[in-house]
Amino acid sequence: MNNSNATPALQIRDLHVEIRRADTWLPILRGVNFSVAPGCIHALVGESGGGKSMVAKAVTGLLPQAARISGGSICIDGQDVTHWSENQWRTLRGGAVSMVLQDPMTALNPVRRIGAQMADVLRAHTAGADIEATLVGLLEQVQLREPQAVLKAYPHQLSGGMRQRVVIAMAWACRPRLIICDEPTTALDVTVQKQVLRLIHRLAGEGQGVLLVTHDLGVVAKLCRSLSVIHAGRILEEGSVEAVFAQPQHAYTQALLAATPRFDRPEHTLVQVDDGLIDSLNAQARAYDSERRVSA
Amino acid sequence: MSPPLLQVKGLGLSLPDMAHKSLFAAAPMKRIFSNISFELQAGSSLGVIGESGSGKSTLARALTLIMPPQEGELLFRGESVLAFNEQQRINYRSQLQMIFQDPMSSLNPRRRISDIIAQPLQVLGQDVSASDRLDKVIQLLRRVGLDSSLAARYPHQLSGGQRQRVGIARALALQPVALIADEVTSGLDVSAQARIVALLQALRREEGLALIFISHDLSLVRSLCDDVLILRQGEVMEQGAAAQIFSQPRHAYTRDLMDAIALPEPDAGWLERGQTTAGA
Repeated sequence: MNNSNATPALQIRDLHVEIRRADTWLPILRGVNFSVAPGCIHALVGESGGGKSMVAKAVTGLLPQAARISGGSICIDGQDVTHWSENQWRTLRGGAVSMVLQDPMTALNPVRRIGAQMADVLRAHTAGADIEATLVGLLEQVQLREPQAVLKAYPHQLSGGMRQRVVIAMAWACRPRLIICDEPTTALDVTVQKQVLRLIHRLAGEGQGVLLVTHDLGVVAKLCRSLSVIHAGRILEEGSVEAVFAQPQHAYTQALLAATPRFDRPEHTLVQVDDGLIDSLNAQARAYDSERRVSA
Repeated sequence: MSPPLLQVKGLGLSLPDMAHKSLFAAAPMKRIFSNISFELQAGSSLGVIGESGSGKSTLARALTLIMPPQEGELLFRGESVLAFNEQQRINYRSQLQMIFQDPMSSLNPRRRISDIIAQPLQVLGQDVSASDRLDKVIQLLRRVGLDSSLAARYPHQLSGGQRQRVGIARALALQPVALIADEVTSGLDVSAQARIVALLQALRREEGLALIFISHDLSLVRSLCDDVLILRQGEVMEQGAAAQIFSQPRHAYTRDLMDAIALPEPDAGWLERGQTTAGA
């Protein structure tokens, strides 16, 4: 299902985001470009502090108060949402764009039953219909046994894997155009992780664009079609998963791969990411900032 | 031949099950793990693999007597730890030091790095003068690859990887013979993780420290450990030499765990292969 000619589910062009510290605006994202086609799972890969979560926040209209978009654009399903107000975002979030976050316990309200929380999403974005039947259908789709019992349960009564399935069911409930999965399996056991990845893969086959934000190159290799590597708010490399894993072009991508443990190669020593490389990347980012300031 | 450093025979631990406590009666006991046996030779390494609820962290607490085990035997250099008097227990604990999963919650946020690392010296060590103590702290910081200028900082001023190395420096302060590392890299980026793994390998190689490495990550265990013990819901599924178990897993659960490893290599068929049990 490769609709490369169709309108991208997400298109980010030259996105700049700054965050206020005292009196100055510090650049966080420095000209981020990538797009996610419908039916494709695209990965945004990087380490903490690289800006990947800031991208996820920007494309869901959830940037912190102290942050602003200072350049570029974000289009969701062809619609420019770059400077939308919170009221406009409310019509979109949960409807055309939804999220699956790392920790399902914080995504769910601990004192409300699963069924009531899921029903909120449907009531906010869809008209009437038989909500109960829809909810059962959604839970069956994410392969939860005894959906009736799950609807009556509170979040703490479910296992971590079950909770994440509920969150995924909520994210898919309104058939959004774009789903942001931010480290969706990091908190899960490995055997559960595989089941959840399989589920995301199957649901994406329905034609939604999925942006997977992660630090785990193993997950990217198994689940995604394409990826962008981000560091210091800049995309350093992008391409198809086959091409990048076969021949990573950027030194940072190579360093990340060398630092990733290999079960199949026990003698492979984990190569530490070179401090010199990180320093030079940070220097490049600062040079980019001053160049941009001069040209502005 | 001298007895092994640590000998564990049929270790078991139960805790009150608060989830099933009725209002007035005492909570029923729930078995956390049972019948665990292994030997740890000086300088060797044992990987304990398990998913959440397997009892692997509680096992670490039992070995360090934070939660004393109720069943079985625990021998340190051939002597029964559970029969130790208070002074012997203190000595045993200083020989077997623990590094925790989340350095942010295991380091006191209100104390400087130098105080955090020096604390075991003050509490359990041969107490020395303040200047000697600072020398020792700086030596420990260097040992874990941190700059001595970090001594005056607070935990929140350090990165996650640096904090974890402070946790290791503190564990090394009393010159232990063994470290117990409980999921020490699971909150870290791959580059910080690679540094911690290299540090643990260097400590084994250069100082002959024994290591009990508790993790859910089979790849890390395979590269760090001589022996492996696979736990599931408090029971040992399989144990033995790492090379043997990972090349010829006998237990279905071990195979499930191995199937679930996402290698950083594109493979379209991987998602469809292996166990398909739903509803977990």
